Amino acid sequence: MHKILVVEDDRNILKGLVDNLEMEGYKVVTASDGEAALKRAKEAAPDLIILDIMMPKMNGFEVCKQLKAKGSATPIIILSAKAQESDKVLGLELGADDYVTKPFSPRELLVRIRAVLRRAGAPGKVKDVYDLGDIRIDFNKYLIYKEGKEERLTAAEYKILKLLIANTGEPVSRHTILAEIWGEDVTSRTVDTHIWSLREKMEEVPGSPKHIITVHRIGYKFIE
Amino acid sequence: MKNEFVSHLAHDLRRPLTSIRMFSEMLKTGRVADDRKREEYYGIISGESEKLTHLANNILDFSRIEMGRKNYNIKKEDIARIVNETVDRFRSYMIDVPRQVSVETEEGLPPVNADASAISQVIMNLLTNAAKYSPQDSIINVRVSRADKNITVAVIDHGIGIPRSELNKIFGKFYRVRQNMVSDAEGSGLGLTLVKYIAQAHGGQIRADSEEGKGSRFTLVLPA
Repeated sequence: MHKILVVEDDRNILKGLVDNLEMEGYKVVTASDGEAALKRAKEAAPDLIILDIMMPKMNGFEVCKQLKAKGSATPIIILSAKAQESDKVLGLELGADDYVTKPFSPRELLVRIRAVLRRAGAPGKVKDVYDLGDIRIDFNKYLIYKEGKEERLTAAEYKILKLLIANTGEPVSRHTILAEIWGEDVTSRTVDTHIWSLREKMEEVPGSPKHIITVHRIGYKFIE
Repeated sequence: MKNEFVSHLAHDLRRPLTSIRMFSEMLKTGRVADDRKREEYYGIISGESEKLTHLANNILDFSRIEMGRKNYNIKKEDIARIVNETVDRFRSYMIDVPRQVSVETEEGLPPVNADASAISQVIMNLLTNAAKYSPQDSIINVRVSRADKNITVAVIDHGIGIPRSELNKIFGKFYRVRQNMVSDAEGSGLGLTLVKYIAQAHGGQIRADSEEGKGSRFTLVLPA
């Protein structure tokens, strides 16, 4: 289930967006001003941000700029009453993935959300439990069962494994893993350390992995 | 200045239109199964339509005044009745963000010479301003009393207040407060200009007292 952060200061528009997205099965978190948006984006690790522009404390352009400056890869759709071409250009130049003007059709917005998520390759539908013959992964319990033993996943390992499984068969770069899991302030060695730990927990022979495969010079990919 | 006004106006029209379009489309597509939700959505559509009407009335009146075509139907009116009816209308208008408004009316007030609709517009503009610039849980006080040969209607909020340096500018055409202080939700920048004009057309005046961080008091003075 994708998680979407909706940043909007108008209570009615916020309510409409939240109800609409929840009806579509998205998990929704919210913020009502620019400063709260930055905080929520860091805490909630959303798959997509819907961002208003004219807000108290910090406007949406600044939020977009700061998120991108911190290396966030989370896609952003700007949703604004500012309809001039120069505003759209500014938003897109600052790194937004799409720009929708108010008033908008909720159906059109949903189509755009799906398109942006598809392009971004954000984690899609990941099952709660995976039986892979030799091992069993239970995301609900944060556990991996291997040879009759339980191995507990740390929060970071849980997120990395979900991200890899969501992109099964496709390489996921270290940069993407860094941006998606930590957002900032860690080195790519941190990713390698966590992958090593995951292999210890779920691979029969960690030095010769069957499920978490190294993709030379890129990152890792998951294979069932 | 006028271009900026038109740009703000287009923006201010888009906000209520966004809610109206979003909720009406949700209702139209039959996606809302819950009766209470449907009722809530109809309430929001109605409230947002009221906001648009209020905005349109302010703009039309301003335009008539600019062209010298605004006429008032002045006759003996009960000021307490006008105030109470306007506050009731304000409460229904603010259905999405309920506000506590306390009305105190001195007993035995004489009638005033007034155009009831114009004075109601003045009070509505003062109330919406008070709501916009004060916290949702703070009370708005309306006091109607006699002072010498005049009747005064004071609208008092406990909000962000107005800096002393800006107090003499707030009745000017297209004036808007600093954008980073509040949401840019609504307001043409004409509300207080109209308030001043209507007060003067009644042989009265409007006074503003404010302290930054503590709140504002707008007093309409009308000859009894």
